[in-house]
Amino acid sequence: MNLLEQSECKPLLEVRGLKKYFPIRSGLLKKVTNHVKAVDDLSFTVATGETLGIVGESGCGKSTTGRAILRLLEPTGGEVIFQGENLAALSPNEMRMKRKDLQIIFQDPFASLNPRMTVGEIIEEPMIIFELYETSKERKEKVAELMQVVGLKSENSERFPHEFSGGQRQRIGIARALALNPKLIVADEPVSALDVSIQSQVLNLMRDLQKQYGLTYIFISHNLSVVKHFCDRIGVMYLGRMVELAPKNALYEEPLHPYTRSLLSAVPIAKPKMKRERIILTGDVPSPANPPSGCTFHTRCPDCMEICKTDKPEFQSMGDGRYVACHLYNQ
Amino acid sequence: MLEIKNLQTRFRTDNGEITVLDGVSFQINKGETIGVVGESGCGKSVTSLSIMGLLPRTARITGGEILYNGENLVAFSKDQMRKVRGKEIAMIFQEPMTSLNPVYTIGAQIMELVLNHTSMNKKQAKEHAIQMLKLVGIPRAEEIVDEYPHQLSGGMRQRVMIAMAMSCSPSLLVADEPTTALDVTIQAQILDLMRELQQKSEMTIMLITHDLGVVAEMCDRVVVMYAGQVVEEAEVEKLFATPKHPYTVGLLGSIPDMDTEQEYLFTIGGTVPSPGQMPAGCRFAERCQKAFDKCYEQAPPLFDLNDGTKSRCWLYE
Ligand SMILES: Nc1ncnc2c1ncn2[C@@H]1O[C@H](COP(=O)(O)OP(=O)(O)OP(=O)(O)O)[C@@H](O)[C@H]1O
Ligand SMILES: Nc1ncnc2c1ncn2[C@@H]1O[C@H](COP(=O)(O)OP(=O)(O)OP(=O)(O)O)[C@@H](O)[C@H]1O
Ligand code: SF4
Ligand code: SF4
Ligand SMILES: [Mg+2]
Ligand SMILES: [Mg+2]
Repeated sequence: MNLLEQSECKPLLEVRGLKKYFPIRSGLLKKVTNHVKAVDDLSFTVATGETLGIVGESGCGKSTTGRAILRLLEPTGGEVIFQGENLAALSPNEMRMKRKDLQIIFQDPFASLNPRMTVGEIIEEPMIIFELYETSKERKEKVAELMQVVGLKSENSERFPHEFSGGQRQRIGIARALALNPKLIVADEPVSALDVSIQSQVLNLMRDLQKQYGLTYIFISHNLSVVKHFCDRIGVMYLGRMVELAPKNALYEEPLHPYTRSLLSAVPIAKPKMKRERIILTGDVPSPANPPSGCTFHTRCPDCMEICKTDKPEFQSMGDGRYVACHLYNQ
Repeated sequence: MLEIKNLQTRFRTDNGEITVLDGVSFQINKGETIGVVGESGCGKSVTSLSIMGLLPRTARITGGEILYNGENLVAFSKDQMRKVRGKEIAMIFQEPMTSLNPVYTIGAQIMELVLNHTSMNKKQAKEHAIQMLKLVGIPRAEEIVDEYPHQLSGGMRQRVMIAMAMSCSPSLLVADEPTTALDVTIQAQILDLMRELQQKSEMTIMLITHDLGVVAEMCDRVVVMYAGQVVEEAEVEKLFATPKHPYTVGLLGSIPDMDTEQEYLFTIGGTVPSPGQMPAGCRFAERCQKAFDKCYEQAPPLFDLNDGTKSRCWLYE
């Protein structure tokens, strides 16, 4: 499969066969007995200026993917090619310099903000590390601007993270990620802690920045209406693998993979008493340590066939930029 | 069952004391699900922490009452509160990492609660913990009980919190953004589980969420908060069909629509005033398109519109 054809423009980022396994230790000696295959052989590309959405079940490996791309977690295998360079092969020092171009907005803002620094310091810190502005005054101005941009009052810059609400903390994380004018931002659930009005503000802002600076996003989210609004293409993950990848309209109009279909049918809609046909998944959520044989979705798939229990489906091109891993589409 | 009357909660900060909750009042009837929505930072979590008696040390309740079955929780001692918590009232916290203890295993944390509040022995408690983890859809629950919070994904941690909160069948469940980190299929499963427990044991739910889809699906009544106050209260259908307060109208207008293409989403312009710098008049006036002279001079009370709807806006005087 030629991954380049996934997107029209030259890719900014190409992920090839990315793997991240976490050891499971057990027994008195804490010997490694098995692995959680959090990300298992993932490949996709992201073009400059585009937004790739990643959706999928909780625990399927979305955050791990984001972190492994930025090498906040060391990948177990695979390549991450950013502007022609394999990040996975860089020395820690070289990687540190690359961080200017690659930023992440963390899912759990509280755990990722230093509790002993004021909010102003937190946003300013990356500018100091990368010597972005000449004077402290310029940096402080930038901090005030960024805070305003994410809807926080700049007079609150002397306060500490614990003095803010969950959604406000999330916005601190966003301001910090924007501070360096990065090229790629991995946004891990950036708006899930925000009310819909602030959510709109942040999404509009992210879109403006994209237009202005040609920013590229990998946008991880559970909120399928937000993903539909904000992303160009969407990848659907299940148990550490990509099961479907498609331009957004195609995906929402005609989901191919049975998992994608059940996902779309479960979106809650802001209309009371509206009844909808839900595809309820039966069967236990399988373990990423011992994934099912064949198609890993076969234990819960309403369309499961005999072949699904034994043969792993290929991630195959369906034309028009669509990819799916499912035996229903074997030619 | 729970009645919050004119609750005022203040925080000490380097710049003096700030009033975060300013006269919050609403009540929750037995067996119902009440939704609490509102601008990020408006005081939803502080309200629930006030109910639970779990405010940080820098905060204190400076006025009002929280009546639980007729008893004022504000006047309870720490020991009395500890007995109420977990068994009577349980809470699912917004940020699981801040409330799960990183040095204890998942199982130990659930078991502690169960051992304190029920007559189960250790073995039964562990069984129960595994059972609860399975109910919230955690795979390999038998192994996860012996793992630590940092080994779980964001959504798994959140489900551990949910399992913990439900493990002693509380009468009142305060759920602060219980499903934000969950994908929609697991969210549907958790919401079903909450409904099931509600029917079985008449559990009452206070559901804080930003997801108006979840509100539409789960709640009987909705309380809308803005800048530390309740600005609207209504039955769920009325709220979505005929929102009264201009903030509520703006909030509902900001929901991205799955069926249309919008390049930019609607937003309510401006930002919420900081606590400590509240205007004399209506707190929403600076951002309200319907504001008129009176709004800048006098703070509107919560008007009762006699159909179960309340609105803090001079338009409904
Ligand atoms: N420890 C603290 N010290 C000072 N101010 C605080 C503290 N904790 C919260 N606040 C302030 O109290 C206000 C209400 O916070 P709260 O966490 O209740 O908001 P929320 O409605 O739950 O918002 P979100 O939807 O973002 O979670 C915020 O403006 C916040 O800045
Ligand atoms: N440090 C770790 N040690 C062991 N296992 C881990 C670790 N971090 C993640 N995992 C496991 O890897 C899997 C994927 O986790 P990840 O956080 O990537 O999921 P996710 O898709 O982001 O889920 P969510 O939507 O809930 O945030 C999970 O099964 C989790 O238990
Ligand atoms: S390969 Fe088979 S089991 Fe897997 S999703 Fe397709 S139909 Fe279902
Ligand atoms: S009182 Fe005035 S400013 Fe406040 S919400 Fe009503 S119309 Fe708007
Ligand atoms: Mg995650
Ligand atoms: Mg909160």
